[in-house]
Amino acid sequence: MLGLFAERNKTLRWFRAVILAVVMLHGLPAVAQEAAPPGTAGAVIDYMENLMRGQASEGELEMYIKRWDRTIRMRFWELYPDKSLVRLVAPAEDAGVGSLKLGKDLWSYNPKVDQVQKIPPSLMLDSWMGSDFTNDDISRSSSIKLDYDVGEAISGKVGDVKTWRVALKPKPSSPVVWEKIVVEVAQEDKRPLRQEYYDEKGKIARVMIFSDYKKLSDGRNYPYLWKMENHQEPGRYTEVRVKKMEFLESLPEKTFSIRNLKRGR
Amino acid sequence: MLLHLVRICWRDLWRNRRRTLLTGVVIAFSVAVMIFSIALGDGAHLQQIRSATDSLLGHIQVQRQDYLEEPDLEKTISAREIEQLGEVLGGSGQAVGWAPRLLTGGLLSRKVPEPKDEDDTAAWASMTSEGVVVVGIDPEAEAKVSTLARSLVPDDPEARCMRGCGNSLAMLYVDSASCGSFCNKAMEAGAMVPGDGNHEGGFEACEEAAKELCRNRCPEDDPLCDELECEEKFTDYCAPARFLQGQRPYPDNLYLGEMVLGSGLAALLDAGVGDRVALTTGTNDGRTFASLYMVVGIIKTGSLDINRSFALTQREKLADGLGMGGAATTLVVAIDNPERSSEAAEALAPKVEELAPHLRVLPWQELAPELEAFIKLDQASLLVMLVLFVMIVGVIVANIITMAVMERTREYGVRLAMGEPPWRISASLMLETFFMTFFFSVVGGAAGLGATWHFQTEGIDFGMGEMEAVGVVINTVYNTQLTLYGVLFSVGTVLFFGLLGAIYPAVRIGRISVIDAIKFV
Repeated sequence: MLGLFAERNKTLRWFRAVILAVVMLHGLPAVAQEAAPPGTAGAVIDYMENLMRGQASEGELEMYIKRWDRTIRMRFWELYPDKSLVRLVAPAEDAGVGSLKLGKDLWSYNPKVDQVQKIPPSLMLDSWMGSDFTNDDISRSSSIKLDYDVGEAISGKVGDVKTWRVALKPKPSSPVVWEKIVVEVAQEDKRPLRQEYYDEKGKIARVMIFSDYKKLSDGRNYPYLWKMENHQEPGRYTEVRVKKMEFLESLPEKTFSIRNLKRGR
Repeated sequence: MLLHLVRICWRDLWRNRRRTLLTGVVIAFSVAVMIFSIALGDGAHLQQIRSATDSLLGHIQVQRQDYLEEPDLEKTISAREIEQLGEVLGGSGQAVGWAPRLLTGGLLSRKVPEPKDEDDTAAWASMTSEGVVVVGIDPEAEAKVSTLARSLVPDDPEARCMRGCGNSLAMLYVDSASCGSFCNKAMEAGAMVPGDGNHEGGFEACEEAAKELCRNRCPEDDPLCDELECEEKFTDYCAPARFLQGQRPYPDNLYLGEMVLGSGLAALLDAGVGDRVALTTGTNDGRTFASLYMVVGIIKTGSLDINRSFALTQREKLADGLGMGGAATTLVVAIDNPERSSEAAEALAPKVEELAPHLRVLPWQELAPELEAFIKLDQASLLVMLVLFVMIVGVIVANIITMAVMERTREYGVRLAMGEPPWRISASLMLETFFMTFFFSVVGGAAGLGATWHFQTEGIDFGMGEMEAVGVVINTVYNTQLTLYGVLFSVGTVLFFGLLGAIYPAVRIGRISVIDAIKFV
């Protein structure tokens, strides 16, 4: 009888220990990660969208692709939420090649064959010009909030900078390719620092790192260097350096036309 | 004495011809059916393997070490390596043919006159583009390793001409009446011939017809309209596919070539022979390569995948466009017997790896393990069927032999009563059974061989054409495959069960009552 009691006591002690461990582990994130005030996540996303895209914008970018040791220059125009035009200006062999997004459709033009081709949805994940950006990225898809549910903001750190991390999960009906995107901004001024892209297995596939912030004429603190690291192919990355950037109230609709796409030759 | 016994046994067999013949027919039929069934099973498996390997897979492939796991244009076999490998394969005694292939992906769309209103995106949207697998081949070498060429839908030169001409209607102020006139003249002059015909004689006629068509076509106020360009374009429509003749199409223009489309792909693009398609693809150094192709053929295989996604073009030209100078991504090898691909690959591997350590030799079983699993499963189920069949045949043969022997119980009783030793009767019974079974097995074997041989050459059409299974095309016209083991196994099985059927009565003879045996009716 005594032995039985001792055995029961031992089981109870073990059970209590397990419960305590679970509570402590559950409680740990609450201790290590500070929850943001309500509405922070939405504000972060709104700010980031407005900062990076605005109502309309145009400019020049230089893209360096580490894998091929190749640099291309391009001009771009964008009209929120779903129109954009990119046209390559250098090197000479690629000059005139363009990509036009109109709504859900992405068109590409190659002056060598004078052919406009619509990119089928099946190829949207293909690399754009051999870079670590995809056709989907270049088309600069619609507002994040249209396609993703915004999670809660939790605190984090990038180097010495305190950050808010906001997880975005795709809405059931959204034709997006990432299982999750995590946006990380500085707490002090919400400038974007990182964007992490997770594949369907929950593994991190790419990381976009923003840096080299400069004040634009309208007061924006804009990152002039974007580095897309390819975590599926270690060592590979693509760097985009902003050469010129101007945010506008609007752009003419005719800018985003196939006629204009072909004008690049 | 033995010889005497043999003579008596043979004589006894034919004393009751009806009984012997009836028994013999069953034996002969069983042997014939077994030989045919085994040959059909072997032929079916060989057909499945050949269908899969001959259409695209090949018996063996030589590739870079990790190309199969992660295909990439950077993982290539250089032109020099292709040449050296050709010498190795030629001297190996294993390969009967080899062909380099260059595979890449791209975006293909049909080149059509643009909408009058360039801003009409709905009109642009109707012009579909499709992702494709472009396979650069050397047609002459490819014919030795695959049956792709045989899947070409027959060329229709007149339709090709009209279609090509029709595409130029908007561009060159050509009307449909003059298209018809041009094509008729070209056809009558023998200028337009299908596929591999002799083009030479009619070429001048084609040039003349093109000149006549294009003369004074260009309005004065259109500086872009060029009569010479018009003539060149229409002369082109007369030409058979240079690519399929093993020639380099448009040698002076890197951005113009010839292409054969899968039938499904052609339907999606609404493209036919004579149309032009534009391909955009990436090179192995990250650039974009765009080029135009004249559609010179349509292939239709039994594989939906191949028909829907594949486009063939001339390998060297494609390699040059991609900046790869004559390289390939795989070298496909054909051997005599695809069932021995693993052994052949093992024999070739050391020679290939000695030449280029970064390459490896893969038999089709490793290239398509799911196909191998499918075939093994099929073989296993056929083996089960064969075992059951053998048991049924065995039971029937043993039964009929037993019954035939039991019928002679009275005869054995008389012989015992006359003083013949039981062992001698048993021995003669076994000998007679052996002679009968062996003789009629040979007869059945001859019949089986004849039927098998006929269907080995003619084939049995199961009426399903080509069907797709585990991603490969299986041709359902099966040829039987005669093998020595199939014949020996069939004869041996029937012989075994025949003798088995005689054992019981032979053993029982020593124990029967002579009186009861004599009274047996």
